[in-house]
Amino acid sequence: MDDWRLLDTGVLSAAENMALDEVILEARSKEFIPNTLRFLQFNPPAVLVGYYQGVEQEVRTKYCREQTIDINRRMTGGGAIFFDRSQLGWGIYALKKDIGAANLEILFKKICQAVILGLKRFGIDAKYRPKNDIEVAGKKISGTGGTEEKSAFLFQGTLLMDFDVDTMLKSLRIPTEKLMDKGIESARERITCLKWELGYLPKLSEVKDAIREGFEETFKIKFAEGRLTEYEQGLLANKIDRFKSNEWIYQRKGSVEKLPILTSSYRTKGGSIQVSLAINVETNIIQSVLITGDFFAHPKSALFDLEAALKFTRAEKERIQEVVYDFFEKEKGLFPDISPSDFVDAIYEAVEKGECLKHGISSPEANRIFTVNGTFDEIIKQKPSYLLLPYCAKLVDCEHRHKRECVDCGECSVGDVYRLASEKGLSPVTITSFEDLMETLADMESKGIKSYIGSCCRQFYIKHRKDFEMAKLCGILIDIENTTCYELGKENEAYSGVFKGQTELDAGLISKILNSCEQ
Amino acid sequence: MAEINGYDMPDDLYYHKEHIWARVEFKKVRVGVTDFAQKSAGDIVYVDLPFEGDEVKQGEPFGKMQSAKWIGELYAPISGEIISVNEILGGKPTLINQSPYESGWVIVIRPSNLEEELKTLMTHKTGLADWLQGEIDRVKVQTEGA
Repeated sequence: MDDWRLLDTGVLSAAENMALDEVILEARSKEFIPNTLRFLQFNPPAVLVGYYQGVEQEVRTKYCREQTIDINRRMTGGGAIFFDRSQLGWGIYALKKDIGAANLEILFKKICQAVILGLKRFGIDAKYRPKNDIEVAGKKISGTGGTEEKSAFLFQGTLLMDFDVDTMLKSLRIPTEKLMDKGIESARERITCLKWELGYLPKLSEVKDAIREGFEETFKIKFAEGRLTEYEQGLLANKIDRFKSNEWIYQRKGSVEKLPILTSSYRTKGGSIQVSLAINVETNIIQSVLITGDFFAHPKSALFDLEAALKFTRAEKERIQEVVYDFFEKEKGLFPDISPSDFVDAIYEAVEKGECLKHGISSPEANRIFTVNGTFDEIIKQKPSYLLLPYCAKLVDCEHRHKRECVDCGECSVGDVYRLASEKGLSPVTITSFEDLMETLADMESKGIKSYIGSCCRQFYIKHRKDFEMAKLCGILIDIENTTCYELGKENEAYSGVFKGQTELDAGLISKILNSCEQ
Repeated sequence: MAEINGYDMPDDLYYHKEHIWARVEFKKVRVGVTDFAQKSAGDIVYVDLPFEGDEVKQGEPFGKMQSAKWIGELYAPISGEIISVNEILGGKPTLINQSPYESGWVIVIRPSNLEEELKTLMTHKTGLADWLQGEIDRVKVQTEGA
C-alpha cells in the first residue's frame, strides 16, 4: 500500500474546517489524493450540529453570538458538539477497499481501535463503545461520526484534551441533562478528557504523534507529512462560501419542532429508575436518553453504555426490548436487583407519554400524567365515568374534607373539578384514605366499571403503583400541583386520612384530559 | 418469499451490489433498500430524498440516509428519470426497516437503458445467493477475528 498522507490543517474557522471535510472526501473519491489522516482545530470555538440537525433545536444561538462561538453544520451524522481550542479533531478520508472492512460496524471499530491504541501510549485504557464512541471506564472521550462519497468515506472524531463543561452546557441545548437539573454533574459522569484522566494536560504534539502511531500500527501503514494539494485548495476556494452561508448552516432537514422530553419514574426491587428521553415524535426515533436512579450498578458507567445503545433507535416496545436484552446478554451482573424488563418498562413508560401530545397536552404536562393498566389512548377510549380526587386537596378545616362529596363553595380547587366532572358526565368522588381508595376501586369493579380518571401526587402513584394495577381497572392519574405530604414527611398521617396540609388539583390539565375523552 | 441466510431477498427482484433492489413494474422500476442493508444499518433515522424529474445514473448516488451517526448514500440501480418519490419516508424513515420491499420503497425510475442495465444486476438465478453469502461470511470472519 502507498504511504498515507498526514495532514495537519492547524487552527481554522468552523466554515473552513467543515468545507475541508467535503473537499478532501471528494478529492479522495476522485483519487486525486492518497488516503489521509487529518488533524484539525478550531478558532474561534465552534458548535457543530450533525448533518440532519436543526440549529434552533440544538444550539443556544444568542449565547454563541455573544461569546463569538462559530455555528456550523457537519457533513457527518450524529449530535451537536462543542469544539473549543482545547479539543483535537481527527478524521480519516480513505477508500473503503483500502480498509477492507466487511461492514460499517467493523469499519468504525477498526478506526476507533487505532485511536485507542494511541491513547494507550499515555497509559489510558480506552475502549470502543458501540456503535461508535471511544470511552474510558464508561465515560466518553471521543465521539465520532461518518459519511461516504462513492468509493471513499470520511470517519471523524473529537478527542477531548480538556473539557469546559460549563461553556458546553451554555452553548448547546442538552434537553435531557437540563431537565434533570444536574447538568454539570451528569455531564461530568458521562464525559471525560485527557487532562482529567492523566492529571495534566499533555502536549498537543505528543497526542498527535500517539494517534498517528496508533493508525500506523493498526493499519500497517506509514504516514508522510503532506499539505493540501492545489486541487484541494481550488475546491476549497469554490466551496467555502457555501459553508459560510445561512443556507448551509441553518438549513432545515429534519423536524423543526423542539423535541419533547418525556420522563418516567419506575420503582423496582433494586431501587427506582428515572428515565428522561428526547424523542422525535414525527419519526418516532429516540434522540437521546438519560437514565438515573438510586439503584446499585456496578460499574455505574455501564448505564451510560445502555444510554448510548438506545440513542437513535425506534421508540417501539419491541425494539427497546431488543436493545435492552442484547445489552444485558453482553453485560451480565451489572445491575443485581433490576431485570432487563424493568428497564424496558421504565423506558417505554416515558415513550408512552408521547401519546398525550396528540391531544394538545404539552410534554411537561404529559410528564405529570401516569397511566394504570393501559396506555393513555386505550384508557380514554373506555370513556372513564369516575373521577377520583384526594381529600388532601380540600381545605384543612372544610367540613367535607373527609367525605366523598363536595358542596363547591369555591374555596378550593376540588369544587372547580367537581363542577367540571358533572358537566362532562363523570361522577366525582373524594378518596379519604388509602383503604377508602382500595374499597372504592373494588366497588367500581364489582359494578362492572372499567376505567377512571384520578388525581394523586407522583409519590403516591410510585409507592402504590402495584396496588393500582392489582385493582384491575385502568386509569389515568394526574399529578397534583404543590407540596405534598411526602415532601413534608407526613405520609403516615396522610395514609390514614389525618394529614393536615392542603394540596391543589391541576384543574387545567384535568380539563384537557376530560376533553380528550369526549373526542 | 425467498430467504438467504435469514435475510428476506424476494426472487422477483434485481439487486445492485450497493444493497439496493429494483423491481420492474411494466415500464417503470421501483427502487428500495434490501433487507440485508436495513438490518446491517439498524434504525434509519433520516432520509434525504431526491426530487421527481431528477435524472439518475446507474451506480451514482441519488439520496442519503442516516443510521446511528453515519450518513450513507443511496445508489441508483438503473439509469433514468425519477418519476415518483416516497415522500412518507421523510417523516417516517423507519418504514425502510419495517417494510423494505413494500411501504419502505424509495423512488420509482422511468428507465432509459433498462435491458442493458438489468444484465449488470444480480438475481436469484445469477448468483445473488453466493454473493450475499460471501458478504455475510466476510462480516463473520472479521467480527470473530476482531
